[in-house]
Amino acid sequence: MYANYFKIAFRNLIRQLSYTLINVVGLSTGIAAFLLILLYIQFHLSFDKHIPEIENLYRVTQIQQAEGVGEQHVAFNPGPLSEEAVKVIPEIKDAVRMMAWGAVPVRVEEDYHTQDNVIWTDQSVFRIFGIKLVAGDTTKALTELKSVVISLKTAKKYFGSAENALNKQLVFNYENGYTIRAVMEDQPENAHLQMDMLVSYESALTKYPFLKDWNSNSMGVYVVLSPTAKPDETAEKVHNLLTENKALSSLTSGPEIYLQAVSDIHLHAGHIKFQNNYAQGDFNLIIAFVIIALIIIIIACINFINLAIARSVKRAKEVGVRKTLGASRLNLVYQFLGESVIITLLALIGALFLVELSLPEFNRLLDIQLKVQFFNNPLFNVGLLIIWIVISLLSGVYPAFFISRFQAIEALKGTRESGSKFGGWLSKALVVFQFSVAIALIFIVIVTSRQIQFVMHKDLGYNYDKVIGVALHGGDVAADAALLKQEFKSLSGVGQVAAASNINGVAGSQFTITVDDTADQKLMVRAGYIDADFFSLMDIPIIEGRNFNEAYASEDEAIVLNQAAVKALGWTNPIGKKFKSFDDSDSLQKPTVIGVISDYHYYSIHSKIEPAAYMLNPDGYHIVCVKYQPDDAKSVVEGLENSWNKLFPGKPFDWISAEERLERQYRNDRNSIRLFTLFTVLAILISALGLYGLTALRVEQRSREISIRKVLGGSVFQMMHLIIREFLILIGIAGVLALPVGYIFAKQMLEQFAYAVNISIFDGLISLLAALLIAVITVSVHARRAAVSNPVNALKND
Amino acid sequence: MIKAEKLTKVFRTDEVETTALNEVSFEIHKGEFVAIMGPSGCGKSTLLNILGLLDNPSGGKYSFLDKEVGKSSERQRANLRKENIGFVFQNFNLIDELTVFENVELPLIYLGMPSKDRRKRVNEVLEQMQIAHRSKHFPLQLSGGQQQRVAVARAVVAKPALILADEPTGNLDSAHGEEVMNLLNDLNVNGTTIIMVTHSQRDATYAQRVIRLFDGQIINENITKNIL
Repeated sequence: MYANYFKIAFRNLIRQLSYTLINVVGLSTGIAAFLLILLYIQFHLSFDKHIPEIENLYRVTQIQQAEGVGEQHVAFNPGPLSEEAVKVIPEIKDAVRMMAWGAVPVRVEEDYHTQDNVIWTDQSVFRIFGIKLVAGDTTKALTELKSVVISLKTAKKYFGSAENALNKQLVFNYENGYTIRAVMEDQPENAHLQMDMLVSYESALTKYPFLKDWNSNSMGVYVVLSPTAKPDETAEKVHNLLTENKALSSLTSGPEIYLQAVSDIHLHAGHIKFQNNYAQGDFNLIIAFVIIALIIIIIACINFINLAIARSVKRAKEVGVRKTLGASRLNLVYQFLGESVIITLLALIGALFLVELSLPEFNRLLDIQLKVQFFNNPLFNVGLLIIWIVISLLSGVYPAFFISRFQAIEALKGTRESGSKFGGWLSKALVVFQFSVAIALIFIVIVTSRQIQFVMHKDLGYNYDKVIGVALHGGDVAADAALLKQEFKSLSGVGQVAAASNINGVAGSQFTITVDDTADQKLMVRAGYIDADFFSLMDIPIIEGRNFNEAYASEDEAIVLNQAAVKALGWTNPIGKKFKSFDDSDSLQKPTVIGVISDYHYYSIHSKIEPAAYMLNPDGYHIVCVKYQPDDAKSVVEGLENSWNKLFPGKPFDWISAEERLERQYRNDRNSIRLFTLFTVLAILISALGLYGLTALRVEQRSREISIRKVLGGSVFQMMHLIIREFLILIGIAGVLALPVGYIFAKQMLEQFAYAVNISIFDGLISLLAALLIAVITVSVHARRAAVSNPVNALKND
Repeated sequence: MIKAEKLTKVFRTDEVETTALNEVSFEIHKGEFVAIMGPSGCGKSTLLNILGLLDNPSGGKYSFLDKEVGKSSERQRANLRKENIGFVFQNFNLIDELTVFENVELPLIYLGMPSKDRRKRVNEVLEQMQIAHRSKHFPLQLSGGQQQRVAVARAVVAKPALILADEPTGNLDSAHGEEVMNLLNDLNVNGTTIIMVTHSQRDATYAQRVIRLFDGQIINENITKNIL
């Protein structure tokens, strides 16, 4: 009996090739998109799962109340905390501190390289993160001064192999005498902290003695708790430990502490302002993609259901005959389900093909490395089986019951129409649902795209156009900066040149300043170390007072504030106001406000502009900014590189354009919107495909009616209108349902930005029009064919 | 074999109530060949559908094989149908997607017969209907007469006690029509009970008895030839 079902199913699929193709193509695309999204989600959920004691591993996180800034979450702690915590808090079994640096110049033999993923850390890192050593001493690789451990890929890059790398000397950040004690295995891509070069904490202590101070706050601290420990209670003990040691006394109140599970870091650390975290994921985005994945698969299933119902008229006779010959309803349900099982299987095969085909591009788009693994990834064996069963049932059950319900006599007499208008209210509801989703998605894409455009083109308060930053890379930065400024200025095409702590003017860190009055008013500010040329190079207006003047002897104590700082302090006449000395010395010269600049967005407009204080401090320079004139950036960069190589032969020339840096801040947003747009287009295409098939069947059902109308004098336009109208009404209803939902989601998305576009009525109108246009084009193909066909043909078949 | 007592069938729509059968009573014995005749809309097909257990009557009693079946469920009717009744339709009602062989095989599949036995039986019937050489063809590749022979083959393949034929020659030319009538006649001679709805006076002559319907009522019953 089953062989018979499959036989007839296959013959039906081949006989109705266009119908089969619409179904298989639609479902394949839907399943492929679904699988891609699942792979992507699976990747994000897999972060740090390789760590052996992940369930007991936590990161110590502070909630600070920062004056002038408000509440902020910080995953940094004082250097002495981890050692002390293991000693005095019994349930903390182990701890490690980590200070990550983005890029450090490293000299290997004669060549300089820019080394990424450098971390100062303790020996316990290997234990806690379960990192295995490939070569070298496992017990004290990071216990001695100037010891370094590198990853296998770094070893291969510099020395060809792990063995060759052992005991080799490095010049690290322009400092001699670092030795490679061991080579560790590479970290998986899905680790929140990438480690390619570990440097012993001892080395950091010698170089940065402030790390011993309970008032410094720059170490990521990870603790392993005993399985029975309660993280909240332990956090309280850590808080007490900090209080006992008078840690972070510059804050008016000591920070609250909580322990964040390391397994949560990748997706739930977006709220943490300061942390060592490279590939930050976004849980909301994951939820959004889960919704999109489900929507796409549901849309594809709806196509299947709608086409099956619409086509049921054609199958009615078969149902009638089978029932007459003794088929039970269950027999027929099995038969029609069998067809859906086969179609889904074909679609599944097609989907895998599509996934393989599109994965390289998908990976490139998102800068990740996802793979199809049939044996190692349950998504591709058990997962596919489940998808097969669920989709077969989801799309097959209703049509199977619908069709098998036909009464034998009615079906044989041909009086059975599949519920007068294409399957009745259910079909209509499904079309409305599909187009509601399409309109809502279009709406969200339009609003999001406008926001990204707004972000990219918003007046950030400074002019970063044609600005290049050349990194200084440590050493005597003040002298290097002076040399470079002079050299760069002499180049053709170069306009102004300025030195700064960062291309956006501010260093990554914050510090607290205290007003020199009796109230001891405090303010947490971003520090900016710049020279006198920076503001004019960036077109940042000085709205009160004056700019720095390097000729003045007392300029060391001069401070320029941004408007946000002045506002936070509640000052109306800021010029001449003084702060307490930053180094606790009782010098007569106190930091004095000499000017106020207008606010500019030194970080992305995801965040508000915070108070910032600028100082003329050549030791804090990290970058030399160059404003160039010609459009040809390439020749300017070549000129800069030649000058650099002349001045600092062998040192790596690292540069970045200000625009690129800015663009990088929105890369995640842009990637998300790209992905979102891609899947929206897919969802719309699948909906349109379904509509295309549905109209074909609908037109076929109505061919007799259309012929009679034509014989009676109906025009082609009237006939097209007749068919299109039916669908347009549905899309109108879809619009009414979709736009409020789209509005809610779009509004939520915009809330992630501190500055956002307003949602306008035109966003809604455009989405509705787009959906209507897509529908009209799709429906017109068949409507026109029916409208211009010869009525005699249809009537002859009657 | 069949006993109808005051069978009534009423069709209702929102506005109209149509009585298709009005208290029809008759009996048909095993081995009979009965023709049901009457003008269009007189209730012939409705009667045949009830007799064939495709539909339930609105009133009255219907006994099939000495069992009251007038109020049976669809499942019970389906079971009775597949074991006891074969159908021949005016428009053949073959499934276009199945070959001749597969169409004929279908009732045996629903009866749950093992495939080896099925093959044997189907080939037997196709030989008997002289259509075996076309067994791999699809219905649309056959002439009307051949299609009807396939339909008859399908009707008899499960060796039903009763064959219901609804205008079996209505779509055929006279030569092919006669062929099909001879087939039915042979089946009847071999013991199968046949009930046939027809417009054709000539086809009716093959029957032993004619039931004439008009406006849902039996107006007379003639014996056309002696029961052998």
